[in-house]
Amino acid sequence: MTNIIEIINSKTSVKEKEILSEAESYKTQKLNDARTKGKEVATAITKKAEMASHAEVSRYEASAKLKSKYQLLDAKEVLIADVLSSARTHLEELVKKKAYEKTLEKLIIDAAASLEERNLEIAAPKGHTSNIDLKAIEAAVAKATGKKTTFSISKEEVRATGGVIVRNKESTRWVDNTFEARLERFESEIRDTISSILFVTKEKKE
Amino acid sequence: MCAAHDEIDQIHESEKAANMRIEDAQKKARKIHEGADEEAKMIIKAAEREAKDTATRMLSDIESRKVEIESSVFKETEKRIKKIQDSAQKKRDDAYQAVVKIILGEA
Repeated sequence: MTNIIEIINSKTSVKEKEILSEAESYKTQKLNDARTKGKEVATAITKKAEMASHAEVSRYEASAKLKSKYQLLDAKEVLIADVLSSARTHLEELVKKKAYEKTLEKLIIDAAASLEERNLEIAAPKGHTSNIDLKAIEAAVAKATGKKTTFSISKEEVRATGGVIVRNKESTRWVDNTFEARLERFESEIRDTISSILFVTKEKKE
Repeated sequence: MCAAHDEIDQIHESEKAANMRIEDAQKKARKIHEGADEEAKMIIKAAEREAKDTATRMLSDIESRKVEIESSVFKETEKRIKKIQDSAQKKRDDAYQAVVKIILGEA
């Protein structure tokens, strides 16, 4: 009988151990899984934050660089405007000088060559027509174009710092060679020229 | 006969005791299971909380990073503008004379 009781006790002990051992195994496995899951969750959260942070910083960096680019362009624009202002001042001074006669002659010849008309009229700003020697101009145009052209001075006063408007008698064709018109017409070339002189370095040219 | 009864009773008692031990063991096992489940949840929550704190720190660090970027880009821009201005100043006369030539048709 003692033997039977011992067997029962022994089997019970084994079963007990099995039950507790299984529970401990479950615990170990569960905690290991939880640690793995915890790491995964943490990695996902930090990675997401990292990406968001990186994207935000990149966006901000790009925006700051763009802002910087605009600031550089603004600074260049100020320098270009300064050059244009100096050029305007120079032109305002030029019309008071003797050399202006040659300038007008050149602008008239340039216009006449484009128009290719026999009779042309010249309109200039108030007081500037005194700088125009029609005979000299007719001779210069004939020499430049190989054609005889007759010029007359219009009574119309042009609103401009300097230069002339040259047109045919019918006023159907004309060339506006006032300083302002030329500045507007050649604006793109002028700005390119200023930029290439002021901002293109020797290394870049090469 | 009486002795045999006693023996059977003893075996019954032993079996009863064995069943109780098994039940106790099962109770303990259940507690271990429940404890493990709870602890596992806490581990995941703790990891999650810690990661969220890290994420919050990361995102709040963005502001200081932005200030750094702003300052660095601003300094670099100022430096470049100064360089451009200094260089342009030397070529200013050439530039305006070139403009005058274009306007006067001498270019």
